Amino acid sequence: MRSVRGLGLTFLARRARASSLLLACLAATVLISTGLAAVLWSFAVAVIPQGAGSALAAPQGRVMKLTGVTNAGEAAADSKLIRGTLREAWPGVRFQMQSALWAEPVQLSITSSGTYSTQIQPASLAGLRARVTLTAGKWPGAPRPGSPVPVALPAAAASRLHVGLGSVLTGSPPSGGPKVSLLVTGLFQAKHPAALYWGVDLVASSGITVQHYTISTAGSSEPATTVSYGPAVLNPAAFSGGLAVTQASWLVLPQANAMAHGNVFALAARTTQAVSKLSVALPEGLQVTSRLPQLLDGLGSTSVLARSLFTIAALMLLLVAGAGLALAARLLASLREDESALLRARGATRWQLARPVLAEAVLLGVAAGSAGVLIGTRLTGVLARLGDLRVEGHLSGSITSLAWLSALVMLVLCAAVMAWPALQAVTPGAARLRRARQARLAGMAWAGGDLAVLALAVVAVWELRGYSAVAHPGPGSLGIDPVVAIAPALALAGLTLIPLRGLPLLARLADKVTDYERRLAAAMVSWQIARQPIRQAGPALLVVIATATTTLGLAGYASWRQSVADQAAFTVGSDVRVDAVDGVPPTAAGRITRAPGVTAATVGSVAGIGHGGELIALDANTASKAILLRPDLSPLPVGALWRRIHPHPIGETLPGAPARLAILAAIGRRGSSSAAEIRRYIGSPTATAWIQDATGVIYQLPAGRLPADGQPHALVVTLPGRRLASYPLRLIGLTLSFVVPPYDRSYEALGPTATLTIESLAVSRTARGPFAAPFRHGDALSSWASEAYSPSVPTGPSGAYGQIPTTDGVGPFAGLVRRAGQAARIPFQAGHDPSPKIQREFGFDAAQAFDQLMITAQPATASVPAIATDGFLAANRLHLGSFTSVSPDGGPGITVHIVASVRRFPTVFGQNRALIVDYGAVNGLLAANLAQPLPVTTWWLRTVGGRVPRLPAGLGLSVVTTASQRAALLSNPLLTAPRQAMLAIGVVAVLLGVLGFSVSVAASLRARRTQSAVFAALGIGKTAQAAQLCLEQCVLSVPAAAAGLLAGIGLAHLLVPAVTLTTDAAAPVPWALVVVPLGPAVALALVTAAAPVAAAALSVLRRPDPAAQLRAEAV
Amino acid sequence: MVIADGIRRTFGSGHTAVHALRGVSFTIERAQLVALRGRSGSGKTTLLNIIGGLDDPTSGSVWVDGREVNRMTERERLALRRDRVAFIFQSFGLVPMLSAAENVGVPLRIAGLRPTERRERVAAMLALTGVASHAAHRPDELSGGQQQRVAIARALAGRPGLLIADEPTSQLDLETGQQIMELLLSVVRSEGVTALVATHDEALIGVADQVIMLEDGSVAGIQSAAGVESAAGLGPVGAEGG
Repeated sequence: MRSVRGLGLTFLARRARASSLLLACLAATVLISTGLAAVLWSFAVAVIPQGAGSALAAPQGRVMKLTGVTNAGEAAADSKLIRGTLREAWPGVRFQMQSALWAEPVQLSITSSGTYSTQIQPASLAGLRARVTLTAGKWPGAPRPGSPVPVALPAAAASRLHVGLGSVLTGSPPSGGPKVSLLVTGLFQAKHPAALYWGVDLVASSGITVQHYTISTAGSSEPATTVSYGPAVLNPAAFSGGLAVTQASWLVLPQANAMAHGNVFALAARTTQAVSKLSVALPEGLQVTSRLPQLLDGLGSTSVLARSLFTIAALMLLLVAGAGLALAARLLASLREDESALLRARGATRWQLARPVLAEAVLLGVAAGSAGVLIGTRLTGVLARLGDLRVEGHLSGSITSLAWLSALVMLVLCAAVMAWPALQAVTPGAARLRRARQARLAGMAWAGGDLAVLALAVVAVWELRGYSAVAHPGPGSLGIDPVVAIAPALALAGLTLIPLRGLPLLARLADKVTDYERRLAAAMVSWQIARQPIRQAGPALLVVIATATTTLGLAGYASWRQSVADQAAFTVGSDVRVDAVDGVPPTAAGRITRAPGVTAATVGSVAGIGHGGELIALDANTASKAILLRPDLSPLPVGALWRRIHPHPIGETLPGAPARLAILAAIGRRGSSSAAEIRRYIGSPTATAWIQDATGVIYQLPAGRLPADGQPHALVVTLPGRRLASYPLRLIGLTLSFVVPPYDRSYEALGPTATLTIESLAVSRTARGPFAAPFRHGDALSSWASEAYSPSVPTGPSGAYGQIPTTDGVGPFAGLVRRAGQAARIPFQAGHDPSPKIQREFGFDAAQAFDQLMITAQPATASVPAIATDGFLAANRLHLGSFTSVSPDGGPGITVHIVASVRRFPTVFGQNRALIVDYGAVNGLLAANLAQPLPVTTWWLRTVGGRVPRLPAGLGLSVVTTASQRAALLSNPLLTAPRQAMLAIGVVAVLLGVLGFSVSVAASLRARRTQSAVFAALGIGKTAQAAQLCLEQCVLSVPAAAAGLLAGIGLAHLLVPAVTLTTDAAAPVPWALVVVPLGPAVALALVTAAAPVAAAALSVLRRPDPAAQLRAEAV
Repeated sequence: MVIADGIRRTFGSGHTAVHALRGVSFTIERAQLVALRGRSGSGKTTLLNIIGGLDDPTSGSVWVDGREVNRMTERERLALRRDRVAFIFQSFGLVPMLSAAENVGVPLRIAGLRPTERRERVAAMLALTGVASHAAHRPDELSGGQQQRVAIARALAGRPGLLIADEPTSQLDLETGQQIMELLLSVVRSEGVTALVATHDEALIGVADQVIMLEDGSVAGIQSAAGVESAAGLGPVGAEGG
């Protein structure tokens, strides 16, 4: 007993020297693990508030819009109530508030059935003048009694209403009451239509809002539409006159910083309470629109998820480190087995044997753990300044308590794995026997422990299947999502323990195989597996865990970056998207698509079609190059998808790249009208040619005047040119405008009658000079349709803002286009003004009344092919092949034929309801129906380097880029940092795996030194022995690495869809794909499996000659 | 069978040089049991390693079966040890995780024998060395003598012409050692192999056909069964050196 009492420091030091390699491995494992854990937790503590700030940074998410019925007297009190309620809900959080007062709308027109009405919204908006540009006229002053109320209108609304400065709009409130007249004194345009300020405006920032609803009458219901124009900005003094305040709107914007540092879940709850309180605060109720409660809730959930992901990383690190520690500790115990057995034989108790081991473990664990924490914390500061990992201002540089906790965990683990074998020490005889016949089954397996872990792993995998953190937003008492945090580590632990149960079978098979093997190398491999299954299992398990962790880390990070790229591309639709809320002139459209740096472009128009749906009209010819549509979103290949809606061009194609078009036409008499009459009453109509370019943009270009003298005249159209338009161009319509003939009792009912003759079309490549021979005779237009209307006189389909009751005025009428030899002939009647009496009654200005005669090319079908999103099909109960009618922005209806579908389409969020059509096709159909084409509102651009090209100024364009969206997502540390943590763990797993496996191989080499010398004596050279070693080790490590790779891929497929969320804890659109970077994953797996073996083989080759070993054995 | 001519082996250089062999010369005929006798540090193991091609002499030559070993390439030496020379070690040199039969089969797997032939040869060698009943036992389950028998069986399995045994009985008790020596003698007689055995064992020395005495790296004397041949300047054979 005396001999075993002296197990003091000297003994420890000597013993440590003898097994320095293994102890160094243990120390390195503890140091690396605790160091990385320190970095992990430092980042975790810092990124969550920073991420919250980032998520709250965008004002659109924080803004709260309130509208309520009120009056002038109560509006101030309501504002005070709102302020007070929000101050109470957001202690310490400052906020800005804007307000607007609204009068009752003035209804300008309504159909007799009441299903279509137009109205204008008078309002006074605080702070408006700083945010708009007055494009014409002046700001309205105080109204004078008895005079129309002065207002300023948005320029776009005025354009749609066909009114200008000095126009008077008269109407009545929908609820009844005296008529109200509004005098337009000014026109304005928003400086930044997308600015948050416009949230206080009840009309869209374009100045036009279309509402679709249903009218129920007498047991039936009918769809109805109201088009609202405004705001008609008036002087606040107008409210004390004829107009009364009936409504108020408020816009509230809280400060992001203060919210980010608060308890977001508590803030969310208080905000929801405040919203509920305000909703019932006013007698008529307040309508509160805000994403803030959901944003805060989502932020809270995302924080929970981020913490959970950090926890996953920590647990995976623990698993890898634990496997490495267990392997090294087992090798150490194996090395000291004889010594321990001898001491046991000399009477040492288990505690006496375990004490020096524990002392070793504690010294090693404390030293390595402390060093790891200190180094890791320092490293955090360095990493926090690097690129994507940059964390602004929150890293205090102090060691977190979680880092010390991690060090403590590693210390306990280290002590446990080292002390356990010491407590199992056996007598020398038993040790000898154990060496001879190693257990076929690990102790854990004997106890059934592996089955328990396996059962938990199965449960974990089952839970992860179909799990989504979206559906489980609550933090629980731990602040993490337990399923997400623990399941992956459990699943991996279970998977790697499966081989323990398979080992005996494998061992028996290997034993049987060796007898039939001829060569020694193969036999040695089989013997290693058969005779030392537990010894081989340790390194194999470590390789599996390390490789799986690496693969999961790589896949998680790559999948996240891919999801970010997909989300950014989906949000924008291309590299760059340019939007013009108010539309731009057609000539400006070409300047954008031809901007320097643009490699592909699609122009289009986005319009609402009611019930949350939108019509996206874009140039299908170029869409496949410009639109970033992820292939899995379409059941068809992307090229085939766009081909489904390729347009069939209408009209006459102008050959080459002409600069001018000449339409040879004549207006002559017909029927009872004399030449003098038509000369007098029709005069020289103004001609306008409708030219459509290759992208579908329609240009309405002046074509001169056509004297009604019966003689052919050339209507010359100057074409836009290649710099502005996409060629080839097509002529799709011709309009002739002339003043409505005056009232004459002697007229026949229909006014003067005449014939328009189109004789030929010719082009010229130059801006001056003669034209080439006609490329088309007029009879080519004989399939065109004709229509005549007057916006001013009782009949006419669109543009009218008031309906004049039936009068004795007559609108124009056009007959069919017919072939006449090589020309096309269109008979028409010009109509006439109403009688002077009617004119006086209705304030009819004859001088302003004009007729329009249009001939337009007709599309092959009366419908436009469309691609529908799945959401649109489901909401409208439609399917492929269905026909449906939609009205873009409340305008004329068009029929669409659904020819394809997509699961999702870029830029379409919310309920996923959209139709995608070809811009040219829909414009052609609108033109054919004499409706105004859809304005170009959107450009999707592919550009060099994804950069924004130089765009023309002064068009009110807003630009969004995929690069900026991607950067915004990547810069949110709440989303990115946890994935980076997983990646870091994955990389460190390689390091720990290589370290542990190297030590195992080194121990194996050391153990077979004598065997190696004997083999040399038997005639096996160094090269053959090195090859044998490689084969022995790789036959387990490579399949283990493969198994780890598969396990990692499997875990990634379970975990990535579950944990990929947006900042407001919603599922990303489009959904996340699992990306496994196989190249790096396989390379790192091979490094883990083969690098240590290769190094060992090299050491075998460089080993001193066997004679030295044999001499040493002989001593 | 074996001719050693002026073999010298020096380790290190300068004042720390160790002259393990200082011009050793002798001849060994076929099918002889030759004992190599000398104290620890006399150069026995070094000499055996040189003869077996595991080491190179500093100078001098050694021929085995008419081939000069010290001029062979590494590949030729490996072939020599596979086909013509077999070693028996003091600490037996068995692979711990293999059974007796499997250990004996190792050189046969190196030679690429078919499994059937290998099994037959293994069985024959185990029977020859008297350990057939322990074929399935691992080395740690065998006594020292049994292990050495297995080692001898392994050495003979490849039908070598020369057996080199380095103190094969030093870790065995007297009786067992004697049995091993008798086994070696019978193997020499029955299989016609030549055995060169480094030993202190008087029993073997007594039955050896030739005894080479090494002292401080030199041949102190060579004794054959016919009588003593003394090396010049050395004392009579039979006296223990130092």
